[in-house]
This record gives sequence, structure tokens and C-alpha cells, in this order.
Amino acid sequence: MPDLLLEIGTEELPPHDIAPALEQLAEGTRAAFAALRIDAGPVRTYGAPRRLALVCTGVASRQRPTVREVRGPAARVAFDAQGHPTQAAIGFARGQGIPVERLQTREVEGKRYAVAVVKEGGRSSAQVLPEALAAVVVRISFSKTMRWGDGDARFARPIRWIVALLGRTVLRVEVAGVRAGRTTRGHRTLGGGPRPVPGAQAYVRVLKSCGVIVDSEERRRVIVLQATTLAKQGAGMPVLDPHLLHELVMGTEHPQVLRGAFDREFLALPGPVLVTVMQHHQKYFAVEDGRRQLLPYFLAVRDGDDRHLATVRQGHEWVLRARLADARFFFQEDRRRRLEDYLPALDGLLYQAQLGTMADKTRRLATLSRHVSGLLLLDGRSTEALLRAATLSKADLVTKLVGEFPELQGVIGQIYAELDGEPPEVARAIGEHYRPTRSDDAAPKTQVGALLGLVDKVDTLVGVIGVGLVPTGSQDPYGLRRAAQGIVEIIQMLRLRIPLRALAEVAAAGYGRTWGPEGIDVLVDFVHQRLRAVLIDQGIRYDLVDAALAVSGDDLLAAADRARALSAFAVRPEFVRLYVAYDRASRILSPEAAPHVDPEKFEVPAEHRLHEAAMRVSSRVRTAIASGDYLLAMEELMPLTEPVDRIFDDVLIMAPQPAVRANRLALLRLAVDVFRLVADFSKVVTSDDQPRTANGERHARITKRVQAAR
Amino acid sequence: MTFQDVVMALEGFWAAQGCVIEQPYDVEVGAGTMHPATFLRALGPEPWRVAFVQPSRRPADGRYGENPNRLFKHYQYQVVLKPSPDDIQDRYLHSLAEVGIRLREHDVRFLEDDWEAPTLGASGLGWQVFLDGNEITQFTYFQQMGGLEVKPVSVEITYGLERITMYIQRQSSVFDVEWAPGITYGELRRQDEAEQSAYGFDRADVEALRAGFGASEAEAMRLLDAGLVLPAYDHVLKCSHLFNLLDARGAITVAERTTLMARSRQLARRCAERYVAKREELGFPLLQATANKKAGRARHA
Repeated sequence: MPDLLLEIGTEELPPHDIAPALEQLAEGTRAAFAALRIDAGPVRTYGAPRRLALVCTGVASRQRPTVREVRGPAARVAFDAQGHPTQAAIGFARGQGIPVERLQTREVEGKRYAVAVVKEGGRSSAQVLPEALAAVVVRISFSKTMRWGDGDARFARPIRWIVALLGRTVLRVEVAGVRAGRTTRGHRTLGGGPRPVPGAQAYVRVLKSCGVIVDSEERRRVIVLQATTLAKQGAGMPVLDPHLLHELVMGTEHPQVLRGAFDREFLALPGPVLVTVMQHHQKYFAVEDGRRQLLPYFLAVRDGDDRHLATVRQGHEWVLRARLADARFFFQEDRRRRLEDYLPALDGLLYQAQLGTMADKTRRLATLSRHVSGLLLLDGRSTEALLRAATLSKADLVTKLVGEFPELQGVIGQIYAELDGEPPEVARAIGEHYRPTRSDDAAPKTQVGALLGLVDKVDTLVGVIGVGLVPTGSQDPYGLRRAAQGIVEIIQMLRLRIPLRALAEVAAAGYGRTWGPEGIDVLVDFVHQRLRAVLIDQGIRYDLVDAALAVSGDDLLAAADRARALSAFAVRPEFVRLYVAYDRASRILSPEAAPHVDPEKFEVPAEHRLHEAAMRVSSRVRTAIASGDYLLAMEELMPLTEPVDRIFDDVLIMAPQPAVRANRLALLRLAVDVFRLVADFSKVVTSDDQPRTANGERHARITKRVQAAR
Repeated sequence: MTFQDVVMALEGFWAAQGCVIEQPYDVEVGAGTMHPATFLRALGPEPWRVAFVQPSRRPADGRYGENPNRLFKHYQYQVVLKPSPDDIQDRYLHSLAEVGIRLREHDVRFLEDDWEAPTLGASGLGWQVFLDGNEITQFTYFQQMGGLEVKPVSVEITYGLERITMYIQRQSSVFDVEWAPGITYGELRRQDEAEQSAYGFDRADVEALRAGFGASEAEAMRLLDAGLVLPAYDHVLKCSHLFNLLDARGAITVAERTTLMARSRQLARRCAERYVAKREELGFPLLQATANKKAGRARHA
């Protein structure tokens, strides 16, 4: 069976677009094989800045034949009394492309019909694949797409060539006006012109011969190995930032690492500034010694080979020197004044068009900090640190260094605060309060930093949601999802019992406007959605998370604790008993229930037993919850299961006498309410109907990743 | 190569690629993109190829001629090709060879960069081109201009002439770059840098600038109503420059910034729309010209 090769040749793709595009290419191709009934072996993808490629070994040359039964007219219409076909049958058979005498009859739902049994012979794969593959390519979604030339096609960057081979045959794939052939292009400088590819098995080899390491894993190994070796020669270790590494792996077709040096005197600059210049701006790895101190070296990754490396090194050193000299100039300029001296300039810095300046924000943060400090009964020292940190938190935004390196906001503030002799906890808090800055970043680690982060994020959410800028789809220009995630993490880390709604109302008051309760509802719901996502990400079943959230009001900590306890409890055998008891009792609930349970109206012992159990269990569950022990609360529920089961066995709930019936219904409601102290079990999905297949999960994850890429 | 050698090499190269060699625009601009030969010609269906030097004024970047890397005015070499040719990256790389950069000896990288000019209602996708870690060119496929989706798509290549020449000459200060044999960039430009910075940061008359902004804006609108697109666009450029001066002077308040930028964008949008309408009235002359040329060639063949 032949192998398939598909290579989409492009201009340099954004590095972060490549992996998600390859994933979609592979998924799409597998789906196309399935839909076309073409048997195929495993699919493998390759990606580099100028190409997205897919190789599939053992692709059947023809589609699998198939037999379809098509239901036609009713048998009594299709055949006359003698059993001869009528015009209706003849027409139907012609429509299905079979001779009329081959029509059969079948009984469907008690009626007989004429049926055409259609054999679909397999067309050749070379005939049916091109259109399908073109559709797969066109459907790849990217974070941003563009048009080019005269055309209307959209892709991440222009498509310039396509290679599509099934065995040795060129598949007539056409995308964006580019027709597939058998010719690829090599490396920009090492490649030496177009190069024919004989077949899929030769793909990796042919590309290597024209200077392209098309397997990204191999490029990663090359970079890591060379970087480590070169750093060792300078008695150091490379700082292999994973994001930069990924960017360089996906940003080069033939990586070659080189080591350059800079003047030792620049080591006097704050470490984060050096790392930012090297890592973010110049895409170099920094080098540090065994004590994690920076060394005056950098590792640059060239896209090319090891010839003329001295020229390239000289160039990189020259650029870095200029950059560092700039940074030093900004640093020295900034240090002519203390951090707090920059505060007045915040009046001139816009926070958001409708939400005033950074000076306004600073004032709100101070007020909100004071409120939180009162709420949590912080001691004097912590309160003072929090207020001081809140006041200084945004001052670095108007320094020259942050103007030049905006990603260092907070970090520069911390460094300047330390140099000014501010208390260490104040400086740390300034440095931490923006965290988490990425979805994989940690929340602030110190108490003051976490609380400052909390009030900053609440203020942001209240303000931005208040002016109606709720994020939609993948659009989140103000980083509200990250802010909400930060709130969730901080509350869990410090185990804060803070009523979110009340806090949001205080924050809203800080804006000096009146916000409708709907605004606060949106905010609370928004944060809840993040909490839900965070908990599901931690591996808790979504239904258990929902069951916990439904009864936790706006107490995020309680919701998280509940969900975790529920998750731990759900794997125990007794959970099923609990669920079944709840389910039986809750199903029969009706508005007919009396407002109160009246033990005088009980007729059998089972009713008394359930009533007593409910009262007893209720009080024990409440005690457990008050101490924050939700696992214990669940265990305390267990004695309620047997009396519930018993009452269903012993009495007819829907008794003929209305008064008795209403009383029994009220009793069951009482029991259900006790269950609901712990969780809303009606949200629980039992194993029969739960879509927990590997496929379902994987699908959800892929969708999420695609959305994240957008 | 001297600074002027680089300019002449690029002129020669792009002229040979069929570009019209335009001249710098005679109204102050912040970038070659604002030259009507870019902003307006990128609109509508007419094909277009142009190259020119554009002195670009950025008052806030001035440093009195004291910072080796920052300038009040720098020089861009601007190339616009519409529609973007299929082999445009290769052509660009060839142009580097013309200024003495042998690709095999360097590290040339196209690093993702999305470009946006909010005051022009313009955006595009492309790259910053890095030579051995040194940003030398901005390479952009325009997608929107004056708020209009462009079709066909133009590619804009903007060379930073100072950056390239500094690198070629390995000068760490722009003022040490040799402009012509025996005369440096500093000798030619430093006095202007010092005086223009002093003007922009210290001496500009804020009230006069503000009044100028209002007057130019009013004039632009009046001219647009009169159907005079190009003079109107000149006044839009004046507004933009006055805004930049006011900004450098620190005279623009937070609230003002947003509104002034929105007003600029609004004017740019109206110019773009009127320009396309006007070209359509004229029957898109450059479309005709290309069609005639092609027909002529076909006859000869």
C-alpha cells in the first residue's frame, strides 16, 4: 500500500501556530480517511517555520467497497398485483443506478417497502483524496489569518508551494491557487533551490539534504545539547526558558547555537532586566553559574550552519551591547528619584478610557486594601505593608525602564522599592501582585502580595465588567479570565473566606458610580466559571464540581473544598448508596408538600425514624461544615440513607389522604434539604449516562487548545 | 558602504524590479506608510509598485542628538508592491545582497510581527526582519487601510536605513555613520536633532499647536466635502504631526489622547473612502494602463 505525503510550504509561520495547526492537520486527515472509507496506517506530522507536513504510511489505494440499502416506495406501490415492477419502481431503481429486477422488499416498522441494495465500489484514493485534503488544509484555524496577493484565501502566512504524493503519484490538491507537485524547497540559505521528493519515506532525508531538520523533536535536541555544551565551556548552565525554547524550535529550520559575551560591568544591572533583554528582546538564552548568578554570556540560535559563525557572533554581541547600554541608561535615569516620587506622574497615565487613570486606580486599591485588612483582622504590621504596597504598586509604570520593557511591570517596582529601603514584604508584594501573568504562572507567594493581587484583580474585574467589556469567545483584551483565575488561586492559597459579592460591591463603590446588581451578578458568575475550570483542570469531575458550586453561594473557598471532598468521596462504594437515597427522595418531591413536617400525622415507625435521623444528621452535618470538613460532612450523611430506603419500602408516599401525603412529602423534602447542605446531588451524573470516554475528554481538550490558540 | 551608497543601491535594485522611484513626501510624516504613495495607493484595485526614501519625524523619540540610537528624525526606505508578488521574500533577500549583506555569512530571520496603526485605521501581518539579532526591516502584508479591507493586498517593506548602515559599518553610534565619503551622519544631522528636540520638548507653543490641529482638521473636512481628497489628506498628515508634537511636549491629557486619536482615524477613514470613490470615477486609470500594456505585449508576441 502506498504512503501519503502532504507538505504545505509557506512563508515563515508564527512559531506558536505550528503545533496547533499540525494537530488539526492530523485530526482532519484521519477524519477524511474515515469518511472516505480509506484504510490507512498511523499519521505523523512534521513542522518547521516554512512547512506543515503530514506523512501517513500504508494508505489503501482504493476506498473500501460498501453496501447501502436505500428505502424506496412502499411495496404495494412499487409492484403490481402480479409482482411486476411499476413505473415508481423503475424510476427509483434508475435513480439508484441499479437494474429494476435487483430491487428487493424489506419490512420496516410493519410496512413493506421496495429497497435498493446499492454496492458502492471503491474509487481510487488518488481520485478522492485531493479534494478532501484541500478541505482539511483550508479548515485549519489559526490565531490570526491574512490574505495575500490577488486572492481571497486566508492562512496564517502565504502558502507558496504544496507537495502531495500518494506513492509516487502527485495528488491534484489545490489550495489558495497553489497546485501540488512533487517539488519542495529547502533551507533559505543552505537549501540551494527547489528539490524533488520521490515519496513520503524519503521526505525527512530529502529535507535534511537541503538543510532542513523537519522533525521538531530533533531540532529541540540539537538546541538543548549545543546550548548545554556551549554554556559548560563558560562554566555555566543555560537558562532554558521553555517558551523561548519552543519559539526557537519552531522558529528555525536548521538551528545552530553560538555563544557570545558581553561586558562584565553590565552584570551590575538587575538580573530580570538582563534576562528580559536577552530572552524577550533578543531571543537569547542567558547563562548562569552553579549559584544561579548570571554570567556575562549569552546563547543565540542561528538558523543556519556553523560557517561564518564569528561574523554572526560579532553581530549579535554588537546588538546586545547597544541594548544593554540603553537599559543601563534608563536604569540610571530612573534611579535619580525614589519610587514614590513617580506617583504624581500616574495622573497622566490612562488605565482604561472609561475608568480613569492609574492614580485613580492606586487610590481605589488603597481603600480596598484597608477594607480587606479589616475583614481579615490583619495585624498592624501587615496592614501597613499592604497599604504601602498598594500605594506604590503602580509607580513603576511611569519609569523609563518599564516604558522600555513593559513586561517588567511589578518586577522593576520591587527592585526599586528594595533599593529605596522599603520593607521587604512591601517590595515583594509589588513584585508579585500581577501574578499569575500567564495561565501556567503561579499565584503570589507572600500574604501581602496575594492580598494586593486580590484587590487589584477584583478592582479590574469590577471596573472592566462594569463598563460592559465582558470577554466573549477568545477575546479577552483586559485579561479578565487570568484575573479571575488569580482570585480563585489566591483565595484557595490563603484559605480566605471572603464573600466575593460584598467585596465586589466595595470595589464598585470605589469607582464612584452606581453599578446595577446585574453587573455584580455577571462578575460573581464569571469568577465561578473560572473556579469551575480550575477545579476541572485539577482532575475533578465536572458534575461533582457543579454539585459543589450549586450550594456554595459566593464562598469560593467552600465551593473548592466541597468539590475536592466530593471527588474523594465519590470513588467510595457508599457514594452510590448516598446518591440513590437522594435520588429516590428528590424525584418524588412536589409542591403538594406541607409547609412543615408534623410528627403528629406520622402513621408508621419508618416516618418517625426518618424524621429523627434527618434532625440528628442535619445538626452533625452542620457542625462538620462549620469546621470546614466536607469529607466528614459526607460521612455524616450516611446514616440518613437507610431510613430513606426504608420509608419507600414501608409506606406509600402518595397516600390517598391528602393530609398524610402532604406530610410525607414534607418529610422527604426535609431529608433532601439535609443532603443539599453538602452538595446538590441532582447535578451528579451517574456512570451509565456520563460521557467520560477517552474520546469525549480528548475532544474537549483539543477544542480548548484550539480556542486558546485563537 | 556609506549611508548614501545604501540608498542608491536600494533605488537601483527596486527600480530594476519595476518600481516607480518616488520622492519623499513634502509634508511631515511619522513613517513612509503615511506617504500618499503608500496609504492611498494601497487602496482600491489598481496595481502599484513604488520605492522611495522617507524622512520620518517622531518628536517623542528625539534625544537632543545625545543618544546614539534615538532620533527625532530617521530615514526609512519604503517599498510597496501591489499585488504582493509570490516571490517577494526572495526579492527582498536579493536586495540585501545589493547592499553587501551576503546571506550565507549571516543569520537572517523573519520574526512574526503584527502591525497596527490605529490613527490610520490600518493593520497588517508580517515580520520584523532581523540580521544577526539586529532589526533592519519591517515587512508587512497590509490587510486594512483607513478602515477598508484592501484587495489586492499590498506588501510594504520598510528598511531602517540607519540600522542597516550602522550594522554594515559596525558603528555603535548613529552619529558616527559615514553618510558620504568624509562626512558623517552626525556632522549632517546632529544640529537638527538638538534643535528639533529642544523645540519639540521645550519650546513648542502648545496653544499654537492646538489651534493648528483644529484648523487643519477643519480644513481637511472642508476639503473632503469639496471632493479634494489629496489636499484633504495633506491636512490629515498635518494633524497627525501636530498631535505628535503636542504629545512630545507632554500637553496631551489622558482623556484628550483618546478623542484626538479617534478624530484622526475618522479623517483617515473618510480620505480612504473618498479616494477610492474618486479613483473609481476616473475609471481606475492604473488598471487600464496595465491592461493596455499587457494587450500591447500580447500583440507583439
